[in-house]
Amino acid sequence: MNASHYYLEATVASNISETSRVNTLVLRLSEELKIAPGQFLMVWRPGDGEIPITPSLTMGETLCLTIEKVGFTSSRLASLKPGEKVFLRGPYGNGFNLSLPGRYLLIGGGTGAASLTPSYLSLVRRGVETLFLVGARNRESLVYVRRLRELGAGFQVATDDGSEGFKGTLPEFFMEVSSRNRFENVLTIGPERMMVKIAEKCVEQGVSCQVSLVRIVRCGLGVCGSCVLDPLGLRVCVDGPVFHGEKILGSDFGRFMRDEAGRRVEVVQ
Amino acid sequence: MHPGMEVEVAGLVLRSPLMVASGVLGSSPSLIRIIATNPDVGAVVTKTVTYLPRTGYENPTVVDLGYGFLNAMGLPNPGYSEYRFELGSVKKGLEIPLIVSIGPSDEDEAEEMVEELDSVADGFEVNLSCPHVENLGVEVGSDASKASGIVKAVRGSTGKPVLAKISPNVTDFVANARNAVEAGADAITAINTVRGMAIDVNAMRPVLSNVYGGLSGKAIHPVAVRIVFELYEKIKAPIVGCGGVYDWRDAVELILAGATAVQIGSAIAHSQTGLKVFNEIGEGVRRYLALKGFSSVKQIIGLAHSER
Ligand SMILES: Cc1cc2nc3c(=O)[nH]c(=O)nc-3n(C[C@H](O)[C@H](O)[C@H](O)COP(=O)(O)OP(=O)(O)OC[C@H]3O[C@@H](n4cnc5c(N)ncnc54)[C@H](O)[C@@H]3O)c2cc1C
Ligand SMILES: Cc1cc2nc3c(=O)[nH]c(=O)nc-3n(C[C@H](O)[C@H](O)[C@H](O)COP(=O)(O)O)c2cc1C
Ligand code: FES
Repeated sequence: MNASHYYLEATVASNISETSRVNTLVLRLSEELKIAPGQFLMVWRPGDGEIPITPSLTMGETLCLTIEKVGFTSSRLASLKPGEKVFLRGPYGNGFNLSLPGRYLLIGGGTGAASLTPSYLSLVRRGVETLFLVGARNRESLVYVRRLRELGAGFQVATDDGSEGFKGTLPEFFMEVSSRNRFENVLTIGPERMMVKIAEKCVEQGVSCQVSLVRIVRCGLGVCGSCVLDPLGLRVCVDGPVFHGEKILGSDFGRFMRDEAGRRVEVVQ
Repeated sequence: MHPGMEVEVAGLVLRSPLMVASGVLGSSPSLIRIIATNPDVGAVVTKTVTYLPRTGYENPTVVDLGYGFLNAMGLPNPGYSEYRFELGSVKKGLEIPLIVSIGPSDEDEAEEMVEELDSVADGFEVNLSCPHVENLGVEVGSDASKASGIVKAVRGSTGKPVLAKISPNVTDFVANARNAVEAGADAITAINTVRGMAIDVNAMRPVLSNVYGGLSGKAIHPVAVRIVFELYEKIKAPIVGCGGVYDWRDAVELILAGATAVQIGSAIAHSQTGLKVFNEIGEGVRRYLALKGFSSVKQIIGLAHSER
């Protein structure tokens, strides 16, 4: 990013409603932003706060952010109208390693389906054999499937209630799919409990698994320590957000996180 | 171990004069444990804890300026009671002194916090200087009688070394330091961040949600050198220098100005090598000592004064 200013300016071109809780902002950037799949941006609206988001599409000066309304800032950002502005800093974090040899299986739960799309496109563009599983509670909660269809992406759907695609959770669908196909690499973004189950299965099967973690990100720069994964002392914002499953299984991954005051609390999702 | 690197601050023997500054890397006990295994780290100062838990300010809380950081975190911390529990688990097996930073807003809080935390601390650093939290920090530090009351209460509640961390954001920092020493502080840590602010030219708004913040890093190093230098001439207590130490020269400069030990904060995040910055600085200091013919870092403390 241009070092002469703190934030990059972006204008909302359109706001697409994905579900009742999730929207995708299509942004026009004032200049091109180079960001690797799995890296994240800090997205700021003066007065409304600033939160970390992994983009769901990056193409030259167009950038998509798919945002679930979970609290104040995310709800404000997800409700922006065309012409309104947001301010971006980044990119931050490591991103996925997409150059490991072999076939790839991508598993996106909720907004994770959107956040994995740049990785999917990058792999497919390079001719890597890739299968994409997306899932949600039910058909109405599926995120980003319309955009994936527009992009001509090959993907398969799982819903907990079977209202679309495979009936069951993503870890269940993963077991089903991996009993029929062999993959050397798994990438996953979604609820943490889901990612733990998938990472455990991958370790059992000797498959490389990369997960993208969420912790409270404040600075994004590795200086404040609010995003630490204990007891490993890893900072999600600079050492992550992507980690190899086997390196973090057995830690607080899937069990505990720290709240805004730094108190150790249980991971609920 | 490098015997020539050993120093003593207020009765604490440190295997290296380099300490981790308060608040940088937060409060995670696992990070403290990892940092403590680095032979070039002489002590760790924890994140400042307050009486009650604090969630801190809304984002944005930190701006990266390249030559430093501007931060207004708002002292997020789990509160002393929960923190004591977490520190207890780290303390066992820790090879280096653990200095607990506290931010009490009055004497009663100070007394209660220190009594509780005493079993997990090797020393205390009283934060009289956080530039962006009302009723704490500078607010406390610049009210002489309040600051002195708090330091007295801390002194009265522990037999362990007490450091008082002072602010550069006052006209008379010497008076504040003297005041803290008279109230019972064994050493002075100087400096905390320098008040500042950033406005984004595209958003045309202050970046920090708190508007004002504290500047740390490279940019404030000369301010730290100047304050340590003057304190060395005017107060008797040992000084722990802090501010913009990015390489061995910066560390040596503060020691020559009069610091017995040196704290490092921003450089940990700004350096490409992370915590290895301690080893780079440690090695540099050793090379410097050897080159200049000194056998111990103690021999160069305040040397810039005698050679004037
Ligand atoms: C690397 C990374 C990438 C992310 N990508 C996406 C994405 O693509 N789409 C998406 O919808 N969400 C994403 N998130 C999560 C998103 O940042 C949080 O949902 C958002 O910060 C909530 O803020 P809020 O003010 O709306 O909610 P609040 O009311 O402040 O909090 C609601 C809950 O959100 C979480 N949260 C709060 N603040 C933060 C913070 N600063 N950092 C992380 N979590 C926080 C906490 O668990 C909290 O309990 C990502 C998080 C990280 C760390
Ligand atoms: C993100 C951040 C958080 C900080 N938190 C605290 C704190 O809790 N208590 C404190 O006394 N100082 C705190 N400081 C100040 C540092 O301890 C130190 O005094 C200051 O950063 C100058 O040193 P440096 O230039 O090496 O960073 C913080 C600094 C930063 C950058
Ligand atoms: S968010 Fe500050 S260290 Fe990661």
